[in-house]
Amino acid sequence: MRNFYMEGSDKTPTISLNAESGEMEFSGKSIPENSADLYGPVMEWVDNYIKTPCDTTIFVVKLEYFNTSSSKYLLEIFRKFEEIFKSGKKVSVQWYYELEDEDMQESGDDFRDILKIPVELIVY
Amino acid sequence: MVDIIKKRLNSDHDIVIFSYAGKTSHEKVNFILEMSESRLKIIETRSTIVKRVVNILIEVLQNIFNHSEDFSIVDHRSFKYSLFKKGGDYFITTENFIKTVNVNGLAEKLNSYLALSDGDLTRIYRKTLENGGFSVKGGAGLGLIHIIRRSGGNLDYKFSKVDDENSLFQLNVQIKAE
Repeated sequence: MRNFYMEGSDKTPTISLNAESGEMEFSGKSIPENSADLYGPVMEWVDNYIKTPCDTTIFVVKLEYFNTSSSKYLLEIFRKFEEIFKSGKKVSVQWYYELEDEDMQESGDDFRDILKIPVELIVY
Repeated sequence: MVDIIKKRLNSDHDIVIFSYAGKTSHEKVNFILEMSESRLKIIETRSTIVKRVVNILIEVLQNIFNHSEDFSIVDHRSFKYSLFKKGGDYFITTENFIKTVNVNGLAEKLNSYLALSDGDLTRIYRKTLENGGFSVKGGAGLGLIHIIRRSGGNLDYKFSKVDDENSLFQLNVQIKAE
């Protein structure tokens, strides 16, 4: 399947999803008014990816800002990866946050608390 | 130019960082966010404080924009917004119209969230994130909880009835920075 790449803007993140390496990355800002338009194609791509996933999938999240409707979509996307995790594949989320940024750290904790896949909090 | 702004904004007086009164639109919301963040960065060197203020601001403005679509009368889609610094803390104040029929529901939500401890607020946020769906407007029901959580509950509000159908919603959020 094809890789997915979307260049970010001042309101949307750069999204890179690599079906060959299993490396996924969201970076920048995710504050669109309509998150469904942004994340709909991503969810569609993930639905196809999880049919024949890599042995290891790493999801890197380096977001500066994200709004609450984006967080809802992020959770839905991560949940799709839970399915392949349960089947024995390696899946993890690497959640990056700036030193002393308690808010972003807490957001990572929110996902770690809810998700069944490992969520690693990394300071940068 | 930046030095002049910086000098003025670093004075001991209340400092208006950015204010706006007018119609809502995607473009206006974007413009306000950009201007508020860039001016805030001139006086606030701590990036975590800038991020907290902007993060709350995003939710406040997008909430107003989403709910402005309840109104067919264009004038009722107008709002006022101000970001200012006072006594070392930052304040976001907004005024926008709300359908009178929705006032009690919003007040109940706000009061119930404001009564929660930090731990309970986190639990409610996670539960809503995990189980809540999307509203017709695309919201996730998380905005208010997020604003209260990030501001540490330092928030007050007021409703004023304009007429039978419309009311004014005033919101003040304090973001402690000291």
